[in-house]
Amino acid sequence: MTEALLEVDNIDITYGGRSLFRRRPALPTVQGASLSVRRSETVALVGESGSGKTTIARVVAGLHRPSRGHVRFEGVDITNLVGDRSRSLHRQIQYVFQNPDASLNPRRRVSQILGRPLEHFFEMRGADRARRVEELLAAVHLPPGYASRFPTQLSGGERQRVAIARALAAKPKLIVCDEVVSALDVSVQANILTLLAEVQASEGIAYLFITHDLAVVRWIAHHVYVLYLGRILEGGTPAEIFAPPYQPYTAMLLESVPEPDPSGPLLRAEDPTTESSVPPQPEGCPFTPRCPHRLDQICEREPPPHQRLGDTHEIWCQIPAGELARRQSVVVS
Amino acid sequence: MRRSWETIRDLPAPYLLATAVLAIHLLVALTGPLWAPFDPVKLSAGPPFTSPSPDHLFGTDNFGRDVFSRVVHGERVVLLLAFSASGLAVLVGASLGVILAYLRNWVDESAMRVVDLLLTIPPLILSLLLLSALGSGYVIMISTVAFFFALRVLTVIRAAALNVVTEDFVTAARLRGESAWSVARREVLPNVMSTVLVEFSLRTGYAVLFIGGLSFLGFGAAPPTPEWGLMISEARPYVTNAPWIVLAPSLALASLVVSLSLFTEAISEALGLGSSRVRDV
Repeated sequence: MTEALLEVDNIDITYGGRSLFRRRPALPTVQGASLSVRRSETVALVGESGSGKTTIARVVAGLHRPSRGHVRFEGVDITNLVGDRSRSLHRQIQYVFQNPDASLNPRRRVSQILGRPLEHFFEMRGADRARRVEELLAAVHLPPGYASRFPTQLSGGERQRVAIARALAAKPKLIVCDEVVSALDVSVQANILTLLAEVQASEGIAYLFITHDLAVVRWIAHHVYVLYLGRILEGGTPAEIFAPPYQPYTAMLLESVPEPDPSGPLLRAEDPTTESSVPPQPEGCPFTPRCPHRLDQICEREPPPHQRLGDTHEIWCQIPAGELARRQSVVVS
Repeated sequence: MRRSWETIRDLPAPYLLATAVLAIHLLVALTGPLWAPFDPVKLSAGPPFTSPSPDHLFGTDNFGRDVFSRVVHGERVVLLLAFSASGLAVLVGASLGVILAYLRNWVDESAMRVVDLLLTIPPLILSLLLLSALGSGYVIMISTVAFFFALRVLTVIRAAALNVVTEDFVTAARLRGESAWSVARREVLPNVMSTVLVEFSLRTGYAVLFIGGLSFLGFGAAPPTPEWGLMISEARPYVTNAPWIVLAPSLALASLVVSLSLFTEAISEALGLGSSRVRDV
């Protein structure tokens, strides 16, 4: 179990560039990102919009090529586009999208939506296929009668279940879950997360879980990476992430979670007005302008150094972890 | 499908009238030859230039042929030619449009610039040129018309498909490693099918007019075929003395084109695509 299922090794991702009739400036969106996912494990990638978390997911899926670095799956380099990957790799890495309204073809019945991957990957047809479609529906707790429905005849949560069933149809080893619950009602979110946990327990599937929701992370993840504007700033188990010392950005993220009990302990934002107007250099720590602990000369110019705080806990920051811990004494419970 | 039908039923009266007229045209095309009173090419079915009467509803022409029978028989010729041309145009145009929209790469970019270039050529003039060079058989005529119409269908369907190809279900199919053809057929085409239907109806109307025009100019059907454009052309010298010979096929042609155009409008609205009138010819 020590060998990683998925390894993202120091990748840079750049958008834009040239095509036959277009010339756009290349924009770096992710810099030096490394992460690994082990078998049957849920790894969460947390960040606000624009942090590059979906971009990393798209590289893993083969929809983008990183401009630097490697992606490995079971030790084999897969730093290529989906068209160049083998069918068995297509099968083993599945993707569940944020919005089930868009990820299910409105003109195809559930039986066709679930049946197509069976046909494509396993050459299943006829009665075999129909039986397997029913099994898949059962696995995501939908009645077999739903096979003949169109996606528009299902609720949002039911559609997301169908999308998950479609991913399961391929018998994958890894499912990339891109904000899979953020388009759903809170009560439905819990159901879907329970379902994902259940499927993981029975099938041993690993998840790369993209989200901006810390509550979800705490609930489902075995390991968390915190991403800000294209750089991973902290990594660790949820217990480590949710306890000091925090990387300064993580601390701010945790503060921003609404506190249900106002009398309880509160992590105070140091001083929200200290935002710097100086944009960081491309190499510098992207959080510098908003960071309450920033060191003006260094943070802007130098990439934040890696600090390993334990077997699994790591942060990227100029300030030593001990110093951070001293400044952040209060725990968010 | 039922909802579409109910929407059609609730459409304004002109659309319903047009649909009824179109139904009559189709019925005549299907069954006309069974009940038309005379052979359309039979000379001296009556005295030449007989004015309309119970024996000859639309009178007779300069050869004494029964104009009513010729119009009725012509319906089949006209519709068959138009449907072939528009059907071929939609088949080719829609397939290419969907594939190009899915590819969205340099092939698409280059192909669309070529299409833009070809769209600047006036279809009638180049058709006449081609037909006079290659001879005026039906196959060549239909291919020529279909070619020009396919360009227009292609741009419309490509535009509609571009809205579909960015959807996540298309990405999901790509991630599965499906071929471009499979994605185009399974995922994209069903979502632009309503546009394809409207295009087919619209282009059929234009094809009736266009082919009628070619025949009128002598590059389409050959005498003695009872093709309406050709009939109008042949009857021109007698328009003052025996106007019915010109009027009968003209009215048939006009009512077919107008009813097709209004019907297109009706299904376009029923399918929720808005007016098709803003489209180019």
